[in-house]
Amino acid sequence: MIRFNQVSKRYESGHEALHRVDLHLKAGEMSFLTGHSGAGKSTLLKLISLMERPTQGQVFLAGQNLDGVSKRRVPFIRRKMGIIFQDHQLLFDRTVFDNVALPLQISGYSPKEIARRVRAALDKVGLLSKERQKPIMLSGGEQQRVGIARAVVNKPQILLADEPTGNLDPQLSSEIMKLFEQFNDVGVTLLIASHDLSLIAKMHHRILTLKGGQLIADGLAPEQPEEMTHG
Amino acid sequence: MVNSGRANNSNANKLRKTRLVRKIRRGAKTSGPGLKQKLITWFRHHQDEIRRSLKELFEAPGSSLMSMTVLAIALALPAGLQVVLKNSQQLAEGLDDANRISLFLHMGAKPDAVQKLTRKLSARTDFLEVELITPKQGLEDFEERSGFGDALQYLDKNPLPYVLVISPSVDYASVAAAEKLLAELQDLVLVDKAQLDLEWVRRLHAVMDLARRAIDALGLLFALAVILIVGNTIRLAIHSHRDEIKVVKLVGATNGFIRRPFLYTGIWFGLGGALLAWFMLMITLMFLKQPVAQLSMAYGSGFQLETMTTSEILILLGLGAGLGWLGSWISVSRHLREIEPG
Repeated sequence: MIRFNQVSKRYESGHEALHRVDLHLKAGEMSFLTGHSGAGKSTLLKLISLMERPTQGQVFLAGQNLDGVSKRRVPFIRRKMGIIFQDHQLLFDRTVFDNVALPLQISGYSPKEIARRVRAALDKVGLLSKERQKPIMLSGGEQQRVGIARAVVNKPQILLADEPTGNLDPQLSSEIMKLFEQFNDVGVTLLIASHDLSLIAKMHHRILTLKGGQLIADGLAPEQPEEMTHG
Repeated sequence: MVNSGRANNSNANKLRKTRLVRKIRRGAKTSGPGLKQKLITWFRHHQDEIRRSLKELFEAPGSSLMSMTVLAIALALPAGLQVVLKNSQQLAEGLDDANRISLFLHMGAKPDAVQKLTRKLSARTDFLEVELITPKQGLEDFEERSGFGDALQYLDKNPLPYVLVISPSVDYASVAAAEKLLAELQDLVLVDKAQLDLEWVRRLHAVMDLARRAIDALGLLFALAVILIVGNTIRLAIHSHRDEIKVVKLVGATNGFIRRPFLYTGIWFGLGGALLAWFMLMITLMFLKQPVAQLSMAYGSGFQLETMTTSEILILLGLGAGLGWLGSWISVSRHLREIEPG
């Protein structure tokens, strides 16, 4: 589903965020991406969501080489994936319902269909009762779940998450992770960047470890856990 | 042989590619809403954006009104000058028949001789009209128009000569031809003085033509000003929606989708500015109507201040909205690129 072929990314500042990364995530796979801050986790996710372009190598998404995607087509690629951020990226002047509805409005669904899907997504994350509230009135964990509902409302095949539990306490974090596993159960491919090693070690999924822009480990156990707990 | 094999191979590749493309397209179709549904929601999105952009305008009525007033002034100036020009043209058109030659005859001219001359001149095919004004008619005219009727009663005899007013055909439209004709008429025995009323009308028309061009050029400058003012207003609006733009880009909004509300905002600014401009002009014209009527009455003219016609008002409103749209479009296209998620 996601394939990196000798991908390097050098920013204009000269900083090389990724160096010759090879990676293959199969459809329906759930994996974690870990490493120090600055190891290249966010860059790797940005290359998949076309927020950045590689300076070398190719990224393939569902068999499509993202190199050949013109700027004009970028929105249509993004509609196929759900993206979740540490800072939620919600619109605070709109209700929870309207926030979750946004991807569907953009894709041009009817209001009836939008309402049905939004409610289903909110129900899934346990926030159906709060659809009329503004995000500012919700707790951090609830805001993150609104972000997740928005990411899955379009029923994407791929979910990307960048430090989705960064600001949450351990119990809320593991609830969020359970939610991700439920999406994985219905066939969604997930790639979750996180430096919370104690949490992801418990989950028994594939763990990719980045260090200095290079992929140094790929397996079920995180590499060098003692070094990274405070990454 | 080798060539054709290669061609076959590339054809097969092409076929595979088009099949793949079709597959992808089909896939995209089944996963999203249908075309008809997309069209319906496209129209609905326009309605939503119209409502939302209007709501935003009214949420900050002070600053919206201020921007619109600036636009209104920029629109009212050239529009007002156009109204002035239109009225001047109306005045000048009344003067077009001044393209005539007046023959003032000698005081002692006998009525019989005058009649004979009138008939002779009337018979000429190059004169459209020859009008005889007797001293008596002239005096009555003067009394009526000047308001000096009482004073005239003190004159013991009519001081006015016979006058023949000749409207020459278009053959004499040029200055040279008209002057030649003038000299010819001046030589007639009965004629004391032949006067051509053409020259100053010409000059007036030249001045008016110049004024029209100057006003058009000024109009273009002010149109540019409107575009820039709207562009700047929209730039600020884009800036204040920065986070929102990032988010909608992230969830797959096209530039067209993001541009739409700003285009409507630009249209509202332009339209609001044009409405205000019309309002300003109406008040100014109402303010001027009375003095102009008095002035023209004093000159014995039937001139009336012309206000804007419905079609002129519609043009003003359309131009305002169009320029607002254009200014917004330029601004959004420039600044949208700068805002990327990440």
